Amino acid sequence: MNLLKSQANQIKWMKEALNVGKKALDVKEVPVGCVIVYQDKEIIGRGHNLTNILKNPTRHAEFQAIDEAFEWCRKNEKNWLNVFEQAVLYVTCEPCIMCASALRRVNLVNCVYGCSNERFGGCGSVLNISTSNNEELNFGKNMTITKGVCEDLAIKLLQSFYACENPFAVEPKSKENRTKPELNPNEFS
Amino acid sequence: MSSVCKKIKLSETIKWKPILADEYLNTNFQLKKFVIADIKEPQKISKIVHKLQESYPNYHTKFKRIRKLDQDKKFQIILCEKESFSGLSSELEEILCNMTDKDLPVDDILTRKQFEIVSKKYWPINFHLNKHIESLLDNSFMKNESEMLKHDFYIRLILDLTKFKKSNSGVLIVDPRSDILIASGIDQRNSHPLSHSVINAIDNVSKRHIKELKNSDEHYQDHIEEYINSKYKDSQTQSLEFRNFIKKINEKDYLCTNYVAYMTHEPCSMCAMALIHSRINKVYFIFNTKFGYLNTKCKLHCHANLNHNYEVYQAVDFESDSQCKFYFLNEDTRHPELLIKN
Ligand SMILES: [Zn+2]
Ligand SMILES: [Zn+2]
Repeated sequence: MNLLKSQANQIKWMKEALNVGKKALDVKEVPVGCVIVYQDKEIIGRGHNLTNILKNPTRHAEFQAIDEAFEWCRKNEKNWLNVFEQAVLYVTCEPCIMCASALRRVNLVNCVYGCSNERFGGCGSVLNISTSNNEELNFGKNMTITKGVCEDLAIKLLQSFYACENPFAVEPKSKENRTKPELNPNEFS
Repeated sequence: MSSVCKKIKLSETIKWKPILADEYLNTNFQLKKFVIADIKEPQKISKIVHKLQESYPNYHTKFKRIRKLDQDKKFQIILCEKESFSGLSSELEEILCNMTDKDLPVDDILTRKQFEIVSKKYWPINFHLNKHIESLLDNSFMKNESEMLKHDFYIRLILDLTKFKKSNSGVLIVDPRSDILIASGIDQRNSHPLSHSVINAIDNVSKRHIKELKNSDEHYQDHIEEYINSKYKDSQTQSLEFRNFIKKINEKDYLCTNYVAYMTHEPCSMCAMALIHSRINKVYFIFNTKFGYLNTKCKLHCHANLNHNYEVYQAVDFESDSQCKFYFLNEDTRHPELLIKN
């Protein structure tokens, strides 16, 4: 089964990931979102960053979504190794070195991302955890990476967060008054 | 803690070696061609340097411009890099002779050893000695007895806990400023493939911080707390106090700022990066692993393009310890990715 053959589907699933990422803004988390899609049909895990709320720097979107997908496997009495083999991770920003390693560990080796992650990226930006000529360099199988899907929207989403975090900005009186680039809700649905 | 420490003789304490970035250990330098020449009249050196500055204003290296060759008592000067050399003015040609190419190292010179090789073999060089790095290189970094005993205590504690919990690896997070045990984590990858000891330890640090910040009565007990309470019942070890153990958490700090991690095994790439995200300060570990990312496959802790680095130390010659043989190296109980040395 080719899990990535339809470009229209790739955009559809990435917009779902962007929607999840957008929810992070409401709780003042870095808006990176992801969905795990099983057999190109069904979302079995969703996640956005929760590092501030949980005071835990490992709770990236991918970790949340993986845990949700594990729960789905348990409920549906399916073997996670087989499920992840037939699944694709759609994430708005390139997985970091930690998350890319985690994806190899859970056999979730198909990954589509929007924009690259220059600070921590594990799919080529800082290190290449996802693929290498020598599989002995890391646990599990090499990954199949598709990048640049809805890149502009992913960047715009991140920028809207950093506009709020600008230390030189005057403290906004209310949520509505914040100075940030206007997000068009239609772009995400 | 002191009572437990005293059980170990100083001579029996574990020896540690730092895992340094390759650039501190490198002596196989990359070379680049420069143009050098002999100076006919040494009294004209300042004039030559001045004139060269005009011709090659962008020339800048760590090398001293001029060297004196003792054996034939002559002075030599670096003119510029070969690739940017475009001849000499007639004025300079008169005062210089024996123009020739010379290979010089382009690498940064970071250690005394590198400095000595370069100045002896290539050319005199300007160099600032980093005392901390030198102490790591010549093994003088750990001469404080109480510190050695402390490392021993913590690493043996996590070895004991790991064995007690019948796990394959474990991590202990400590605040060294006040010798407080923050949290522990043991490997539970059999129940969840991402449940590695480092990830679990970080989860537990965060649980503890949340508990402290909320000042909640919510019952949360770390494995290490339970273990200490059961094993060290004597009153003196009650100084391993857990209540109110975090004096004050600076909310602006990252989770593990200033903390030290003692771990039985070298972490994988996921765990090594999780420690970067948590801003751990130092890591001490014993066994190498097949996909280890602090020594075996990569030295992630000193990667130049990451915004945080941490120091890493590995135990030297620990394999002869009886605990190792019967548990951590044993086929039935060892870590599934343990790197077995031949
Ligand atoms: Zn990540
Ligand atoms: Zn790990």
